[in-house]
Amino acid sequence: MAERLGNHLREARAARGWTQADLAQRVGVTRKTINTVENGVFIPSTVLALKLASALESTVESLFELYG
Amino acid sequence: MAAKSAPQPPSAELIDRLQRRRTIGVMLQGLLFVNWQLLFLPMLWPSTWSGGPFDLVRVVAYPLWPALMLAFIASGGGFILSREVRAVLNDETTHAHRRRALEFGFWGAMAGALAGYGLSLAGAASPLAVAHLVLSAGLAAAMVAFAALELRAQANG
Repeated sequence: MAERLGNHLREARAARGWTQADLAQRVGVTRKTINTVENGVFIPSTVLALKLASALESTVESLFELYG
Repeated sequence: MAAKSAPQPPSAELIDRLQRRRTIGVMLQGLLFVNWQLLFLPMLWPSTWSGGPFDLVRVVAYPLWPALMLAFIASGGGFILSREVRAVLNDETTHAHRRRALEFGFWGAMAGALAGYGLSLAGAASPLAVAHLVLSAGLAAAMVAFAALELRAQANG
């Protein structure tokens, strides 16, 4: 069975009261990138995952996890 | 002397607006290109090809539009925008969508080549018309696929 990458990006972002646009601007990407990562449509690169974790003062491991 | 302040990142609203404009522009370009080809392609059939000045001007002018579209697909466009704005607009998902769009473009070109092959065998198409067909099908498929992928990603925000 194929593995699936899940994430807690939406929860982490909402906990800070940020919109997708807020997070996108802090990380330097478009809002659609945040949207697609949150919805599991797009798997971010390691660089982007690290940037997201840094912006949310979190770790990559706590934001992303493998299922299956 | 005052220290030079770091450039501010482009606002998310500006990026959203430019992105939407680009997506709509790409979709329209792809659809207009197909329509334009459908209107002009029959004129390249051997029976209608006169080789006169009008035909020659058209043949020389034709590659300009596809060249611009290819430049866009290869680079992401936005050449008049600042480097910072362009970098955000061409982020990871945009790159991924361009790669996926190029795959669609490849299959579109292959379909165009097969259609051109069939038309040539039937003696209905000149080599120029077949080249038109391959280029048009490939480019239109890539442009429309890119726009569709971008629209889908921008939705449900």
